[in-house]
Amino acid sequence: MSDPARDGFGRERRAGRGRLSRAAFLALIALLYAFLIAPILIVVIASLNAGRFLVFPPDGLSFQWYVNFANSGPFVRSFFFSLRLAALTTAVATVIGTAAALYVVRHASRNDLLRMLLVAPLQLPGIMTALALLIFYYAIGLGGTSYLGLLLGHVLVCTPYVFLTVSAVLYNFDHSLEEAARSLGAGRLTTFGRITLPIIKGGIISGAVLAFITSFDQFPISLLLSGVGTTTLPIQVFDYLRFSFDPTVAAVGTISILITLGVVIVTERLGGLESLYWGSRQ
Amino acid sequence: MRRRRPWPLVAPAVALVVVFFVLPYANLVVMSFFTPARTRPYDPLLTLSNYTSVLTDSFQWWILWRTLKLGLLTTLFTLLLGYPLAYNLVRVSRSVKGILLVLLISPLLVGVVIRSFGWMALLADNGLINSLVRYGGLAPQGFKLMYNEFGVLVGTVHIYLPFMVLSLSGTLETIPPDLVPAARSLGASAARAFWRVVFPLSLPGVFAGCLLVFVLAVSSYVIPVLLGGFKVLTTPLLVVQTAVDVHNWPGAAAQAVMLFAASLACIALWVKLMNRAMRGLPG
Amino acid sequence: MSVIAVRGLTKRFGSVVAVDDLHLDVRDGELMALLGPSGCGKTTTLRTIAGFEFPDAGEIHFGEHRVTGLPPERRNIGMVFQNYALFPHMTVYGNVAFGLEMRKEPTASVRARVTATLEKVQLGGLEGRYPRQLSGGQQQRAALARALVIAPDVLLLDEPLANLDAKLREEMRFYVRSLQQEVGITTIYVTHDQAEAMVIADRIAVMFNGGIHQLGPPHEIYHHPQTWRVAEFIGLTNFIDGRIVGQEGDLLVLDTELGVLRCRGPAGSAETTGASAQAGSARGRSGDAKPERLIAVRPEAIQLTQGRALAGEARLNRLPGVVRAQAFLGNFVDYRVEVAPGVLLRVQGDPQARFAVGDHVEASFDPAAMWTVPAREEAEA
Repeated sequence: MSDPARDGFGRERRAGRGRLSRAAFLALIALLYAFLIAPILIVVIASLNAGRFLVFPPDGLSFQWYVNFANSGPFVRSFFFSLRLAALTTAVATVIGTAAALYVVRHASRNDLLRMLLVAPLQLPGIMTALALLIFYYAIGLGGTSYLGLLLGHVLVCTPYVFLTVSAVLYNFDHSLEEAARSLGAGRLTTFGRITLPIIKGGIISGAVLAFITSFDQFPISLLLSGVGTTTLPIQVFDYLRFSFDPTVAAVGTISILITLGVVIVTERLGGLESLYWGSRQ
Repeated sequence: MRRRRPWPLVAPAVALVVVFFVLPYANLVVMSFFTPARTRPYDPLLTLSNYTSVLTDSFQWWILWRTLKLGLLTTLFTLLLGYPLAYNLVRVSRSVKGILLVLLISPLLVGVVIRSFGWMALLADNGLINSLVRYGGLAPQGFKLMYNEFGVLVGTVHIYLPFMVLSLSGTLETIPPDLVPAARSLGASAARAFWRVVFPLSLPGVFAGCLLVFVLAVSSYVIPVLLGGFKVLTTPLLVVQTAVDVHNWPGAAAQAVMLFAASLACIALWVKLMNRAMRGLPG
Repeated sequence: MSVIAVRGLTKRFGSVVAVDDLHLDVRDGELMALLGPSGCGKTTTLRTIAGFEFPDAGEIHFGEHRVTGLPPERRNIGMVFQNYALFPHMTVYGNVAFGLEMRKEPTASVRARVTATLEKVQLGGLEGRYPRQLSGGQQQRAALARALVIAPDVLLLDEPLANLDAKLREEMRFYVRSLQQEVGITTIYVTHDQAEAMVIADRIAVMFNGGIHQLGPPHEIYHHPQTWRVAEFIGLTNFIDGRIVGQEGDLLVLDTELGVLRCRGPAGSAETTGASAQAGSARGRSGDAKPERLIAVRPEAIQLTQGRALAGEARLNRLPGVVRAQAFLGNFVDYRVEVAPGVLLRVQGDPQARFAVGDHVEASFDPAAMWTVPAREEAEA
C-alpha cells in the first residue's frame, strides 16, 4: 500500500536538499541499529576468537572457548539447570496465566485493580522483588536457597507475560464462534477445546515463549535466591565475569542466543502467528 | 439459572501475586522498622533508626543522587536516540518494519548478562574499540570507557532503548499522516511541521517512555556491577550489599524504601510537568 | 410439532429493560420476522430463545418441551449469526459436519448428509476450502448449511444478510425464503430492514422499546398499522393531527389543522370509537378511544390535480396546495406539497403528469386509503 512518491507521513519525496538530509537521517538510523546489535555480534565474534581479548587486527578463529565450556563442570551443570528450570516455570506460568486471562477478559474486564495486581510483578524492579522474596522466605522458613523458592520467584515474574499475551488474543476473540458451537450442540468444555483453544493458541504460545526466555535469562531473582546446586546459567556467567574476563562466557552466550532464536523460530512454525490471524474479529 | 463467575480460574494467579509479591513487599516495609542485629539478620524490635541513618548519611545521599542522575541521563539519551528510530519505524513499509522490529527486540531476548559481556568486550581497556583506536594511532593509551559512569551509561542506554522506541512508536503510529501535508500546505517548513504538529502529539508516548525507562534505569543492578566494576556504586547495589554482604536486613529494607520514595517523587514531578505540557491534547 | 411459545419474557440489562413482558407464538413451518430499529429488543429476544441470555422472567416452550433454563446446546436449534461465525480453523466440511459430530452421528452418515446439504446450498465441491477463501455470499450459505444439516426444531437467524452488499442482499432474501419453505422449518428472523421483512416473512412482529407493537402478515402491517410508530417505520407516511368530532356511516369525521377530513375508522370498531369518543375517556393501546388521533396517509395514496379537475366525489378529501419541491426518481416523482402554512405533505406522483415548483394543485385522498392511529403520547412525541 505504499506509494513510492510519498513517505510514511504522506509527504512527497523531494529532490535536492531534501534528499541530502534524508540520507543523513538514514545514516543515523543505520548507526543506531548497529549500536543495538553490536554487543550481540561481538559476543558471537568473541566466542570464535583465538585470543583472549578482541583486538584489531584479529587474532584468528578458534573453537577453544566452546571446548572450554563443554569441559567446564559448573557451566554445563548450570546450563542444564537453567533449561530445566525454565521449562518447569514455563509450564506452570502458562497454565496459571492463561487461566487468569480467560477469567479477566470474560468475567472481569472492567476490574482494573485485578488486572493491575496480576501485572504488578513486571512493574517493580526485579532486584527489589528478589530482596523482598529473600527476606520473606526466611520469615516463612523456606530459606534463601531452596529450589521451590527459586521456582516460585521465576513463576512470579513470568506469569504476567503469559497473562498479557493471552489477554490480548482473547480481547480480539470473536465470541460468536463459541455461540455458534453451542448452538450446534457443543457443551462448554467441548467448545473450549475444539473452538477457543485452537484459535487462541497463538497468544498462549507467544506467552510461553516470553516466559521461557524470561526465566532462562532471569537475573535478579536468581541472584539472591540461588544456592549451591541451584545456580542458574546467568548467575554462573555473572560470577565469572565479576572477577575476570573469560571468553568462555562468549561461547555460553552464543549458545544461549542460538537457543533463544531456536525457541522463537520453532514456535512460529508451530503456527503461532497464523492463529493470531484467525482469532481476530472481522 | 444464573451462572456464577468461574473464579477458580484466576485464583492461582491471584494467590501467587498476593502471597509471593504483595506480602513480601509488605514484609520488606515492616522489616525497615526492625533493628539490625549482630548475630542474626535482624531483631524484631521496632525502631526508626534505619531511616534516620539513611537520611543523615551523606554517603547514601550521594549514592542516591548518582543513581537518580544515571536514571535521568539514561532517559535523556534513550529519548534522543530513540525518537529518530521510532519516527523511522512508523514510516517504513510493512516488510522492512518487520525486520527492524526483529533487530530492535532481539537484544532483549539475549539476557542482560550476555549483553553486558558484549559491551565489556567492546569497551574494556584491551577491548575492541581501544584496540582499533590504538591501531589507528588516534590515542596511544586508549580511552577509559569502562569501569566508570560512562560505561554504565552506555550499558543502560543500550538495554532500555528498545523500550523507549516501542513506547514512542506506539503513539507516533496513531498520528494521522495527513497532518504534516496539511501543515506544509499552510506554509510550514518540514522542521516547523514536526515541532509544531508531530512532536506535541507524540508527547503521550514521550511521557510513558521516559517514565518506563527512568524506573528501569534507576533500579538496574547488573550493568553497574559489570560495567562499573566496584567503582560505580548505585543504590540497588548498596541495598544488595547491605542485605547480603553485611547481613543488615533492616538497613537494606530502609534503603530500598528510600529508593522507592525518591523514584516516586521524581515520577510525581514528571507527571506534573507532562500534564502541563500535554494540556489540550486529545485523550 | 415445532411451535415456539414465548410468554411474559422480560430481560433487563442493569437499569435498561431490553424486553418487556413479551408474548409470541410462532406457528409450525412459518417464518416470523422480528422487525424494529436497533435497541428495540429483537436481538435480545432471539438470543433468549436460543439460550444465550437468561430471562429475568417468562417462559419459552418449543412444542411441549419447556426450554427456559436449558443451555443452547440442549435446545436443538440451528442458528445463523450476522457475521456467520464460521470456524476459521476448520474447512467448510468441518464446519458443516460439526453439529452432526456433536450429535455423535456415524461418519458415513455425516459424510452423506453434509455433501447433500452443501449441494442444496450450491456449495458442492467447496468442502475443502477454508472460510476465509469464500466470498461473502458463499460464507452465508455455508452458515445456513451448517445450521440446517442437523435438522433442528427451530431455525434462528440474526440479521444474516446485514454484512452483504445491497445487490447480493436482495438476491439472498429470496434464496433464504425459498430454502426455508423447501425445508419447512419453523424460523425466527431478526432484521431492521423493513423491505427484507416484507419479502420473506409469513408474519412480522414489529418491535419498539422491548415490546411488540403489532403482529401480522406483511400486507396487514403495511395497510393497517396500529400505532404511529409502526406506520412510520414501514414505508413512508404523512401524519396529520386531528380530533374525532363525529361519524358518518363507517367513516370517521375529524377536525384537523387542514380542515375537516373524513377517514376510514379502525377495522370493525367504528361503533366503539364513536361511542367512546363521546365519553372522552382514554384507554389501552390498540382500539384506543381517545378523540385525539393521528391521520395517516401514504404518499402514493394522494392524487395531485391541476385546479379542480376531478368531478366531485363528495366523500373525497380535497385540499388546495402549492408544490414546494419535486424530485424525479425514475418510476415516480417525489413532491412536497404545502397544504397549509408550514404543513408539507409528501406525495408520490405519476412521472407522466409532472408539476413544477410553485404550481397550484389540489391534493385529494380517498378516505378508504387513510386510517387513524392513536395520537403520540405527550412523553413520547
